[in-house]
Amino acid sequence: MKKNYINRYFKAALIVGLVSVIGCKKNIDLKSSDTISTDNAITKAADVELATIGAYAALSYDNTIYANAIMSDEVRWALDNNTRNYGAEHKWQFDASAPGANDVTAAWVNLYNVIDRVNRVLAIIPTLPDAATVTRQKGELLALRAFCTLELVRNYATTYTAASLGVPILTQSSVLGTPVRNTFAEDITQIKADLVSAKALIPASFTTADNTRFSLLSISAIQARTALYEKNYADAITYATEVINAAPLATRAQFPGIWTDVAYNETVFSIKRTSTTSYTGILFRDANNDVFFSPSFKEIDLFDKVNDIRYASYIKQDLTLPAATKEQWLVVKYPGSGANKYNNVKVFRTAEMYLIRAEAYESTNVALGTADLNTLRAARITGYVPQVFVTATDLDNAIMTERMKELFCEGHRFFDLRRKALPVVRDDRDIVTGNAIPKTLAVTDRNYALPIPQAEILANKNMVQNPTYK
Amino acid sequence: MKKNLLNLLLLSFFALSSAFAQSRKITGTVKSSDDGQPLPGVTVKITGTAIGTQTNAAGEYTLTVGGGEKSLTFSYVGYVQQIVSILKSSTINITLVSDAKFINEVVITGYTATSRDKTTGATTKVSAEKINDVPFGSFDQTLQGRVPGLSILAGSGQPGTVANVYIRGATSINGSTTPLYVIDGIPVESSVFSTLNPNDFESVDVLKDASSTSLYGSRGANGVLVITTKKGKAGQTNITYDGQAGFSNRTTAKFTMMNTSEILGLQEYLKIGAGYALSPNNPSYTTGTAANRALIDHRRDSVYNINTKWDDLFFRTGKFQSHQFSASGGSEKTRFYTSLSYYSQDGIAKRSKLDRYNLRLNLDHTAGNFKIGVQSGLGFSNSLFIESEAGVALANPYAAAYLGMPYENPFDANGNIITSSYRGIGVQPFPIYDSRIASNALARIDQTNSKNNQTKATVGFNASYQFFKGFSAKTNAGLDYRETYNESTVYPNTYAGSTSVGNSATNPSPGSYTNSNARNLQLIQTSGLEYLNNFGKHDVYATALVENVYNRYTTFGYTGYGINASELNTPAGITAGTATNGFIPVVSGGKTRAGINSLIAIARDTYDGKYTIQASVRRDGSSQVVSSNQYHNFFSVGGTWNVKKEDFLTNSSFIDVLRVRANYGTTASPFGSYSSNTVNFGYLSLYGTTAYAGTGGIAPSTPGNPDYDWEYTAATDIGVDIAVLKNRLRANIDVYVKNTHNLFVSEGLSYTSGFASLNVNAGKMRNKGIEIALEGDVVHNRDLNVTLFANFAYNDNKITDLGQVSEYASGTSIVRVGLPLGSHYIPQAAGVDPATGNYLYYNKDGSVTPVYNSTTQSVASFGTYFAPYQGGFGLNGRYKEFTVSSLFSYARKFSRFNNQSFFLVNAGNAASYNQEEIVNTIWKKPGDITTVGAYTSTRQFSSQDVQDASFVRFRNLQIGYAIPQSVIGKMKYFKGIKIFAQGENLYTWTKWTGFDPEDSNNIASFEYPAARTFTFGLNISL
Repeated sequence: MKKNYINRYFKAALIVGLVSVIGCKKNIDLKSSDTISTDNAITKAADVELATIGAYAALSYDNTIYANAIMSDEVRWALDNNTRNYGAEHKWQFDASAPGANDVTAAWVNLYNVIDRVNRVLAIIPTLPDAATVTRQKGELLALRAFCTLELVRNYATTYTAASLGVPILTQSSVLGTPVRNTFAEDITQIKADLVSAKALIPASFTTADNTRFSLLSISAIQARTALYEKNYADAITYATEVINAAPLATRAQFPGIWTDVAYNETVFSIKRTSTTSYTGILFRDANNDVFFSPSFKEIDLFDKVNDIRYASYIKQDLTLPAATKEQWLVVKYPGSGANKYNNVKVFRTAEMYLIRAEAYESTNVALGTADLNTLRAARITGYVPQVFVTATDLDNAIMTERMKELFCEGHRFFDLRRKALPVVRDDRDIVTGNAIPKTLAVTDRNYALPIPQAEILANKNMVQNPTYK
Repeated sequence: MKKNLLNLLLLSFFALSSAFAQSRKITGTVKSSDDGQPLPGVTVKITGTAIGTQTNAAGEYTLTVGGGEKSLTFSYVGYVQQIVSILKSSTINITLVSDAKFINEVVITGYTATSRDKTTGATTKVSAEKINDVPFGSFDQTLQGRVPGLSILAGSGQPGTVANVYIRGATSINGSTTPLYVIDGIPVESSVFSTLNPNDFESVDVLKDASSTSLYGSRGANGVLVITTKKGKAGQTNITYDGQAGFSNRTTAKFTMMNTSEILGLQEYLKIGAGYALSPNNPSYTTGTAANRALIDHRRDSVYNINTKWDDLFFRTGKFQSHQFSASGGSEKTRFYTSLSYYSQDGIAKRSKLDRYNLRLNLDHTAGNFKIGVQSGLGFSNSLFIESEAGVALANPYAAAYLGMPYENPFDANGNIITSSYRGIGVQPFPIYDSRIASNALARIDQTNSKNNQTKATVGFNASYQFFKGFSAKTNAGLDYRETYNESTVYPNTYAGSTSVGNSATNPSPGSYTNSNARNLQLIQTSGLEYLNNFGKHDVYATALVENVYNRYTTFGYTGYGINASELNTPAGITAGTATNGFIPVVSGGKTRAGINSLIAIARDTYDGKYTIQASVRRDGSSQVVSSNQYHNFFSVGGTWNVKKEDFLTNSSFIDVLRVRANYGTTASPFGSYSSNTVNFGYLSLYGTTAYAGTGGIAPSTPGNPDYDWEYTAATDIGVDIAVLKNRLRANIDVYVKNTHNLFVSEGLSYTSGFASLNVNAGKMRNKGIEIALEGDVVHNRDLNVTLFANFAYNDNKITDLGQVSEYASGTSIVRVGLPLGSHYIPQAAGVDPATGNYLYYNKDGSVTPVYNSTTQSVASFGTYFAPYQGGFGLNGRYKEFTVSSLFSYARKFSRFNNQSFFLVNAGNAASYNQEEIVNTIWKKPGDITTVGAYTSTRQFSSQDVQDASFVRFRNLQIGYAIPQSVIGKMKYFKGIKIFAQGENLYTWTKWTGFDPEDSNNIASFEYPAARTFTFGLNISL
């Protein structure tokens, strides 16, 4: 009888016994295999390099290119576009709530994301045992932060004047932070300080073949652009000269190769594109080959179509397309299809430095300014005859026009007009296609400044919207 | 594995033998308790054997039994089975009592199986005949309209797609709202049902209240669907064949698209597009040369003569067939059920289809106090999908068919499709005045492939051993395994291929091949002790269990480019990537896992059959929450008062059943699918991998939340079950309140943090409602039965707290305290200004303006897209051998944004997309009263497109005929033959003007609508 009981209990225990085999605390103390916990993400110098790459990976210049093209007179509404593609931005009919996925507030999100990535690494570097071996990365990170802050200022400062509202300066990461907007002048001061520090950290020997990381030279380029917006012309001349001397303009033979990434002449910094990243061309032409935005006729007419090497690299009329129903005019700088679809995004080129220096000379030495403009034009146009400008105003007008040509769809036109407090005025031929495209954006109009994203205003009690959007 | 299964099957067949001893004759008559009439066709068997007979037309039977036999079993569909001793007499006359399931059915919660009168909770059982033979690829859709409080709304009619399922309203804003699905005690992956065979299901118990869902603790808040598969019964072996074949068609659209002359006329009027390019009023025509005018005249004639019917090119009549063989039976010791089935359904959009193969073997063995069982289901399915379903994408046939111009002729003289890349192949055969939208989509159907193969195994093993009177040790262990193999190819040298990565001047259409695999494995074991006993008037049940759930999910995929045209649909066709050819393949994949450890205790006591009290406690420890919140206790208490058993009612001839139930309990919502690291490790602050310039790097991926916790629900339910008039009128009524707190609220972060938002446990939400199920036997006699049924559910959802904020917008809806979830938030349209033709909008102060501003004008006055009123009704009838059943389902008082009309009633699009006929009424001159604004006024997202999506759907009608036993008896080979015809989705009453109102999302964008299906079927049992 007793034995029988033992047998019974044994059988029962056998059935329940599975519990002890499978059930243990291990089952619920699991670690994620595919992600890296923030606490131990960066523990040595090699991790700093990884995190620096991570910061570059988020960097985008497309939003700037987009805002400057769609908001300005560089492009026109193309025949294939229908109302859904960026219509509100091109028509200057948007408010602060996100009008679309690719809207003019996207730069805010993107650039602060990069800055946050930078700040997280910069905070950890001093705690690393081998911190001394990552000075170059530290320099790159500071350059990234300065570049992003400058881009934020260009996009979102109310105006480019010292006391005007700029953007919040972020030097440390904070998930629950609610920073206030600094002034334009404070922003510029911070950018300059970061760039000076960066220059001291990056060795002169550090370059990449395709200039897709920040080298000493590209920092000079950021400094030059910063000085232009600061209207600090002495600095502008100094830093532009540093670049011009080190990276001469491409020859006419080399120039087309810049846009297909077979030549890197005069490309001081560009953002690397591969088949796994996005591509810039989609801003102008959809994946199904519908053209959203074409070069404006105003833009096209600026070029000497025969002699100017830039024309064919930037603009194309595809005559194989039926003109009545398909858009023929294409922005080919970023082709949007074909092998060259993923060409690198050109952020700083020596040509811009010539134009910055020429503009910087305007107030002090029209002749030197004229010389820079002529040098650039001579490098681009076959049989160019140097021009003479008597007044600073004449030179300034010529530089504005040359910037519109040379830097077509490179993220400058709208901001250049804002720098000069000039309205956007489209050509009559450029407002025919599409749905009631307005001609003029006055300096006092709501959309003349870009809005801080509405979500930022809601989440951050200290955030102040640009005045026209209130 | 297969061989073993077969061996087991054969063994089970041979086990059915019995011995004869000294024999004697038993005779008698069987009558019905309903009307006292004799019952023909009643199965009379020697208990525990397959030996038996049936009653004749007079209800009489004669059976020869062996000397050792002790009892007979009488069974008849719709009546309670009776076992009667034959020891004392050889004349056995009995009266069978109709099977009022309402009283006697067993409620299965997965942990307990309790008779209805001892159940304290609100659960609804859906039995096999309502689930089997319904032509849906995904079983969840068959439950629509069957269970009050169970919302099943299909978002897509593509074969095999799952529905959106909610039980008693949504209990989460950002987390999961999907119920837990359990098959024979094994939790299975939700939303992956296309490989399950519902014909194997015996019943689905829908657990809605806290006292039953609390047993599932941290996974119970969204309700539980407990599926029980068919099991063998001791006795004669039943072999059945169920076959069905039919076809599906599109339902009639509620709008009319323009024909060629209408759309061209509109364009001409608006001075846009082809209509204007070909217009004789175009200045370029009037001022052009005579030759040019002649050319334009010629082209106008040819373009106006094209009238392409895109629906006919994209859609078709879908074929359907299904076949199932099953066998079941066994002895008192060993019972089995096995089935083999094939299901094939073509969608109404070309290419879409589902093919499925299923095999099931369920075995149960009893040896004294020892019970052991295995339930195993194996399935394989092959689905083909359309591209970009529900996308406002030109590859989506449902978008292309309507957006495409009727003057777009897709074919050249040889029948080849002229896509927008035709230029590369040859000269256009005729001038093209459209943008090839629909032609491209049409070409893509044959130039791309999207295949999904799914292998699924759900296997459970259970054992119990009664080691002492009343005490049993038991275990249930099993796994749910699913492997999905996806293949999508874009063929080279085609239009579709020209849009793939790596295209270049030298290789304009390289094509691509994508292959992705996902493997989901869920293991579970539940073991412990069970106690079941009677003391005096007490009927006691108690159990204590330990449970472990472990889930592992792995995925891997790659896309290669430059496909070799002679090696399509295989990785072999991929061209190796080099630095220059642009064909570097893209590789992706990941792993994740999750685990839950639980302790469960359940106790129940029923006193004198009158008072039942049940309590449960469950402690869950989960890998999915932060360690400080890792363990949580859930509990429930419930009681049932069986009023009918009280002295004052026992003799009532009016009231047959009266029970009052009440319960309270706590649960939490699961975090969602176990397949993502974001769900499984939602609390971690993480870095993820990224790359720049071809080099790998790391970057922050989630901000992390150190206070991450479950979303908790506390629910109260009070219910009444009542049956009157000899059980002919039955009703269940339940009222409930569910309060959810700790809701994840997406709290906006400053973008300067690097992140947009953080989910914090801060919100509260309340669902309260009433559910009524009614059933009435209108006519009930031997030849004619008519039962009407109806169920109704009203759920009132309200967000009561959002933590630091009081509202936030989410697309075109808003999450706001005081409003139900899913409230539309959009500017209110004020029609079209007759003076200017501008679309008008209301400002919040009530003034009207043509200036659109979504930030300042949006209001939440257009209801919610979660239908508060839902239910179903219908009829089940039988006249002699004929049966008829019908089901109507409905959802009321909900609205959705009709994105189709936004595109198709939008003059601004008229140059590129075809328009509905109503656009002919476009505003033309001051004084015009119309709803279609002037061309110059931009169409915006406004309440103009928010439409009432309420619907009543005639969901199913089935008419059957069972060949009489008198005929079958003569044929000898058959036990029963039934033929039937059914129609699915026969008609929909709705004000909605889009394709299909049925869904529970806020925006309808060219989704695959539900088809109308007719099938003819045959059930044979041998």
